[in-house]
Amino acid sequence: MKHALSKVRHALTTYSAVDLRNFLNFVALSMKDRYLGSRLGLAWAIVSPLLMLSIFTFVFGFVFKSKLPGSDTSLSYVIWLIAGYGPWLFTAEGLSSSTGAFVKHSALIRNISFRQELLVFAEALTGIVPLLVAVSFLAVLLVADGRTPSLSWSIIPLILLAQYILVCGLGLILGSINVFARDVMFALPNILLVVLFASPIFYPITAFPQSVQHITAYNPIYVILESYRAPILNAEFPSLWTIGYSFACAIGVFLIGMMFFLRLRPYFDSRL
Amino acid sequence: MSNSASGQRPAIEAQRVSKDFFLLENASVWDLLSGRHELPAHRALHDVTLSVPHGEIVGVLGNNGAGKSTLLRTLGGIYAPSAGLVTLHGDVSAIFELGVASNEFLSGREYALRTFEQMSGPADDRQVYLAEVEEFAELGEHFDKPVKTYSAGMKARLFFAVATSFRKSIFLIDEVLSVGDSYFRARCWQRMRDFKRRGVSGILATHDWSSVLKLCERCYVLDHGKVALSGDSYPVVRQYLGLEQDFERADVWLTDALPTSYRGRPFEELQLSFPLHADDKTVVSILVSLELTDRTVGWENVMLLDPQEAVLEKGENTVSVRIPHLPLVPGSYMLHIGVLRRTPGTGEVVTLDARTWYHGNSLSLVIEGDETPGVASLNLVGRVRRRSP
Repeated sequence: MKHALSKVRHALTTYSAVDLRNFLNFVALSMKDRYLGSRLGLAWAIVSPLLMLSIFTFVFGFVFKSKLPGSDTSLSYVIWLIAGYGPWLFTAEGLSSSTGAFVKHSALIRNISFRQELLVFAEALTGIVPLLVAVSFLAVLLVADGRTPSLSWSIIPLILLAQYILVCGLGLILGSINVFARDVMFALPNILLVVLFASPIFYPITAFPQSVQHITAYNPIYVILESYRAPILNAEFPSLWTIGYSFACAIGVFLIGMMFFLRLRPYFDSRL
Repeated sequence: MSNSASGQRPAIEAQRVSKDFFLLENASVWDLLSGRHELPAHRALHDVTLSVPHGEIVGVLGNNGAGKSTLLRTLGGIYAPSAGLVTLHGDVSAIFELGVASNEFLSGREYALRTFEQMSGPADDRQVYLAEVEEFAELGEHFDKPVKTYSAGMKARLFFAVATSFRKSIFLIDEVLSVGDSYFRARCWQRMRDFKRRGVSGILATHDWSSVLKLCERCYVLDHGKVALSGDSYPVVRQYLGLEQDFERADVWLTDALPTSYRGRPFEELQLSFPLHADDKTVVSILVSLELTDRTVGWENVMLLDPQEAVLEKGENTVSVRIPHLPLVPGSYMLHIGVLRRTPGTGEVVTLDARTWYHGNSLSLVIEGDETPGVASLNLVGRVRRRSP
């Protein structure tokens, strides 16, 4: 354990300018390549989540006319929903992309010598596009609802950072395992579906039975989503405990992810 | 320890490098994580020690599966060696397979740009690089069309150009000179010779021994992951090809009085005399060729004299070849002689004796004078005249 941690420390303290350049290249590459050969190209990255969000607004706002407990407009439900669903897209997209990172870029790994974890870090960032789309969409709804910007929104980049570190960590674990057991890639959409409903996004946590609520309250994905909702919905800073807990989980998972990766990496040659 | 004589460290050094690939078919991820079980492994490289001096391109010969690609990838830092040490002094560019990381929807230019972003070193300039790739690949307007639409030859040109247009000091090249049409191969050769002139160091891994002779002073032969042979290319290739066996002495042979080296001057008459012994009166054909082995220019058959008949008397004979106005520039050439006999009736040609590189006993011809670029090549007729002893 101690040995594994010192390896992680060594890995994390030896990044150079070349690694930064590679990372930025991989980010551009992972975004662009997905849509290469399509006419609309990057526009698809915006169109898809936009369509999904529009459907949500229509269905929950006009068909079901859903309302939050203690609120009387459907618009406030839609805002609440998207304030959670947007950040969820960052997690879900980033996780799917980063889990497949090593396998997808096996040609690069076989031919160029570089820090391979950068592939995961870059793929984990692909969820930034739907997140930005959701944030823009949300801004329109907030204006329509007559709300004014709040200083508490400035906390959001910090929450995003914790979320990114968490996704990188999970991506390192799942991506490394995926090299040896490609089942991970097929299991992931199912797991994401379960997590989507287990970290309540479509309904408030109070809709769960009391016993489940206690457990869900510690689900870092849920905690992070709630840290987005607090400033957006109520113009409140999330509690220090919430932020601290998010970072503790994110960094913990990230370190475990690096240990996984460094442990399994020597076997990549035999498999990619 | 230190190589103080030359004052320069080798560009590439491998010390007792081994590489294992694990056989993971029956291993679970948990086995890998816990490290509790000894995993079965295939040893692809076994104690390989090799060094490439600065400015030299060293050949690595071997059959398919001998470990050439594994060795190159290990030297290039793609694979971590399981044991041993790899040391590089310089910036590396490598071609392990054609079409690295290519998304077929990228255009040739985009592919080049992407490779540049991923592999360029401090000495590389984007514009210079792109211009050089475009010039070398000769794709014309296709350079801006998707790689998907390219023919195999066009892809080969693009990939070779992309990988070799960097200003790096070390190149690792795996089995690429054998693809493409003859025009493309000639261009590849030209580029490899430019490398040599620029003082680039590198390794050429191939199963084509003639490439090694053309380009490399020294070479290694890999067999089942081990270095089977190493040293000067000519003797090593001869051994690799199994040409080492002694010539069985026939009834006619070149005697020990044969010099190993001849001398001449440009545009003067050159007379080459060969002492021949014949057991009995007989008729043979004498074949003489001159080959240039300057590896920055090429390996060219510069002169092949038509087989000339010579009537030999029983005992010692001297056969001469006379070349009036020798049309060669100063330099060192390989001189090959074959003593042949055409079997009457079947027309089968039997070699009675020979002095060639692949027999391991080629002669040399040194043309004296000041260095001149190029090789003159004129049509000429040599004549063999028998001179009685």
